[in-house]
Amino acid sequence: MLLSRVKLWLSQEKSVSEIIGFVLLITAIAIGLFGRFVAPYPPDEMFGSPFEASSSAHIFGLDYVGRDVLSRFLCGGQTSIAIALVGTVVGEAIGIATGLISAFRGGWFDSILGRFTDLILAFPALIMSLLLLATFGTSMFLVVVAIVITTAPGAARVTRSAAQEHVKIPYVEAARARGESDSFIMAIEILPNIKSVLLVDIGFRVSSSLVLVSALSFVGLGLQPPAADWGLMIGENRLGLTMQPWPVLVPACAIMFLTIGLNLIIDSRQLSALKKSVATELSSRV
Amino acid sequence: MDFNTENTVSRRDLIRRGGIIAASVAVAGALDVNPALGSVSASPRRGGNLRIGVPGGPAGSDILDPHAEGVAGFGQAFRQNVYSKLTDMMPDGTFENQLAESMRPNPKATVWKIKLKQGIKFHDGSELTADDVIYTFNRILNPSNVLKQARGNIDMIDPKGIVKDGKYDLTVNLLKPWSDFRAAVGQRYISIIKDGAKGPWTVANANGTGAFKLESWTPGTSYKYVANKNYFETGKPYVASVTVIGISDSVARVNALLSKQVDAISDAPVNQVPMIRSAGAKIIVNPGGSWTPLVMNTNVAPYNDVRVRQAMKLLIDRDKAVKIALAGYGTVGNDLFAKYDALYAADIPQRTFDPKKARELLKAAGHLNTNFVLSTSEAESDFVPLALVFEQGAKEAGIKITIKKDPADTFWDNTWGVAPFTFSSWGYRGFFTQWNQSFVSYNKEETQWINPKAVKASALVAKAAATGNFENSKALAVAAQQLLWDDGGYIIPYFKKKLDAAQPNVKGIEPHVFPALSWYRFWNFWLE
Repeated sequence: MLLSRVKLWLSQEKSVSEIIGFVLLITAIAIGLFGRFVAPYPPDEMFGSPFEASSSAHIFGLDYVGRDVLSRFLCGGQTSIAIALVGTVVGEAIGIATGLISAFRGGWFDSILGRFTDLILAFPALIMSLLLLATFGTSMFLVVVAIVITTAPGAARVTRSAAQEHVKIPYVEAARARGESDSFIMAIEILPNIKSVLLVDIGFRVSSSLVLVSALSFVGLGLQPPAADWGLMIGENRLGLTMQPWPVLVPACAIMFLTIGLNLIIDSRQLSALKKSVATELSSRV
Repeated sequence: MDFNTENTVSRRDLIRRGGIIAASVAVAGALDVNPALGSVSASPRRGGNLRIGVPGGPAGSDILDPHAEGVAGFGQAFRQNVYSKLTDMMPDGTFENQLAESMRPNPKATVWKIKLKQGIKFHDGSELTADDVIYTFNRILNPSNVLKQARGNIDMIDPKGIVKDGKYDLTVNLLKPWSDFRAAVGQRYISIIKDGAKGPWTVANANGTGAFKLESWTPGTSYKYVANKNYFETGKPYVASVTVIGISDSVARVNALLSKQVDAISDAPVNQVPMIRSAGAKIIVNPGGSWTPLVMNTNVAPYNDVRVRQAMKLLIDRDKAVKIALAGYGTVGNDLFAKYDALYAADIPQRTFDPKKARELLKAAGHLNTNFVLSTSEAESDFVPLALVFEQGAKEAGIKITIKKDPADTFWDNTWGVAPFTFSSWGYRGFFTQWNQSFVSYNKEETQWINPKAVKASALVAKAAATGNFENSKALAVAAQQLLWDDGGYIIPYFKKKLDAAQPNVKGIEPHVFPALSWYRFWNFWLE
C-alpha cells in the first residue's frame, strides 16, 4: 500500500523545487533518525577545552564544555523529530475529530468549538508554549502537550471547513438514508475525501512543530542538558559563535533543511493541486 | 515567606556585587602589562572622562542609599567612589586604612579605639569627625532601618557601646571579641556618611568623602561622577570624570569596549578573550579568589547524611571542572574558602575525584540507586558546565544525577535557598567574614549547616576571632575548617580568576582578589 503510493508519487510529474525539498527533508530526517548509529563518540563525553577548533579527531571541533560536535549533531535530531511527530499527530487527531464533528453536527457544538479555537489561536504558538512551560516547569511531556495544544485548534478549523463542503453533497445524504451511523459517515465517507487537504496540513504542522521544539530548547525550556538536541546545541553554544561556529552552524543547517524541505514540498503540492482544480474547472466548462 | 524573600534578595545583591555576574572566567596568561608596576614608575596623565561598562540591573533596584544593597557591581562602583570607609580591601585581600588613621584593639579584641585622619572634607566642604562615624554606625545598627547586609557586617558592635573620645577619636565596644574588626568596617556597605544625613537619597545629597562627586544618575543605566578636588589622597583622582554604564549582556559589553564606546569593562567572558586581544584591547586576569560552590542543604534528606555529602564531594573531577567550566583559568578548590587568608587551612589534604570511594559511601548510606537532582541555571555562566562535569563524574561511579535547569532570572529567588542541592557564587572574603556570612549571619540558609558539628565549628571560629595570638588563632581556625571539610554542605571545586578588559591607554587597573576593575577603585586609574 505504502510502496504503491511511493511508486505513484515517483511516477507523477514533479517540479524541481519539490525534488529539492524532498532531498533536503530526507537528508535531515535520515541524520536525525539514524545519525546516532554512526556517531564516532558518545554525545556527552568531554574531550578537551571548551570551543576547541576542528581537528582530525573532531572534524567540527568541540562545544562549550568540550564535547564532540559531530557526535552531538548526529545524536541530536532523534528526540526533537520524535517529539514534533508525536505532538503533531496527537494534535491533528484531536483537531480532525473535533473539526469533523463540528462540521457534521453544526449548531451549538460548532459555535462553542469555533469560539474556543479562536481563543487559542489568538495566542502565538510560541507564547502559548512559553506560558505553559513557565507555569508547570520543563519536561519532555509538557513540550508534547504544548505542541498538541498549538496544533489541535488549527487542525480542527481546517478540517471543519474542508468537511463542511462535503456535508452538503448528496453522497452523505445517501449514507444517512442507508441508515449509517454518524461516526461511520464521518470516518468512512467524509474523511477519505478530505485527506489530501489534511495531509498538506499535517506536513505543514510537523515542520512548524519542529521549529517550535527547537525554539523552546534554544531558550532553555525544551530539552534539558545534558541531552543532545539541535535547538539546545544552538542555544548552548551561541556565545562561542565568533570563535567556534560549528556547534551552532551544523545543527542550524539541519533544522533549515527540515523546514525548507517541508515547505518546498508543501508549496509545490499546493501548486499542483491548484493547477489540477483549475484544469478540472476549465474542462467542466467546455 | 518573608524570610525567603529577604534573604534571597540580599543574596542576589551580594552575588552581583561580588562582581561575579554573567561571564565565566578563565583565559590564558592574560596580563599584558603589570599595571601595578606601571602606576609606580610612570607619571600618570591627568584629566579625561573614563567610561566604564559593568553589568547593570533593574532601575527599580538601583538606589542611592549609601548603606543599602542596590544593584550589583554597578551600585558598588558608586559607593566605592563617592563615599569612603574606615578601611578598604587591597588587591591582595588585606585591609588598609582609608578614613581611619589607626584602629587599635584591647588584648581581647572586644574594645577598639579608632582614630580618624584629620582634615578630610565631605563634598559639601564640612570636615569628617568622630560624630559622622558614630552616626553612620548607629544608622546601620538601628534595626528599624532595612539595612540587613550592612548590619550583618558590623553586628558585633554593641550599639550602646559607641563612645566619642574627641573630635577625631572614638571607642567601639563589641558584643563579642572580633580580631578582624578592620575587615568588618571595610565591607562594601559601611560607607561613612555625614552626621544627620538622611533619605530620600538623591544625587543632590550624595555627600561623601570619596574621590568623586556624583553628578548625574539614571537608575539601572548610568552614573556620572566628577573629580573631588579636595580628595584626601594627594594627587588623586587622576581622571576628571567617570561615566559608569550598565551593560548586562556580556557580549554587548565586549562589543561596547571594542567599538570604543567604553574604555574598560568588568566580567569579560572567557570565550571572547581571543577576540578582545586581536582587537588590541588588554585583559586583566584577577587572582582567583571567587568561588562557585555546589551547596547541599544539610538538613534535608538525603543530604542530611554525612556519608552522602562526603560522597558528593568525591564525585567531582576538580581538574576537569577547572578545564571545562573555567577554560583552565582557575585553581582547584578543597571545599574550603578564603584561600588568600593566612588562616586558610592549606595543610588539609586535597580532596580528589574518587568514584570508587564515593560509591562505597553511598552504598553504606543506602543511596546507591537514588536519583540525585542537581538544580542549576544560567544565572552564572559556569553553573551549567559545572553541573555537567559533576554529572559525568557521577556517571563514572554509576550514580544517577538529574540536572534540572531553572530560569536564570528567578534562580536567586526561587531555586537558591530552596532546592536542596544547587549552586551558589561568592566573591573573595577573608576567613572570619566569610564564615560569619556563610554560617552565622545572613546566608546560613545556603547549606543550613547548624548541626552539632557546625555549632562546634562556629564556636571554634568565634574563639579564633577573639584570640590575639596568631598561632592560637590559626590552630582554632584550622580545627573549624577540618570540621567544615568533613561535615559541611559546601563542595568547592575551584577558585576562579575573573577577567576585566580595557583599552590599552587605560592605566592603573590592578588585578584584585575581589574583582572587578580593582574593586572599583577608579581614583587610581588614568587615561594615557
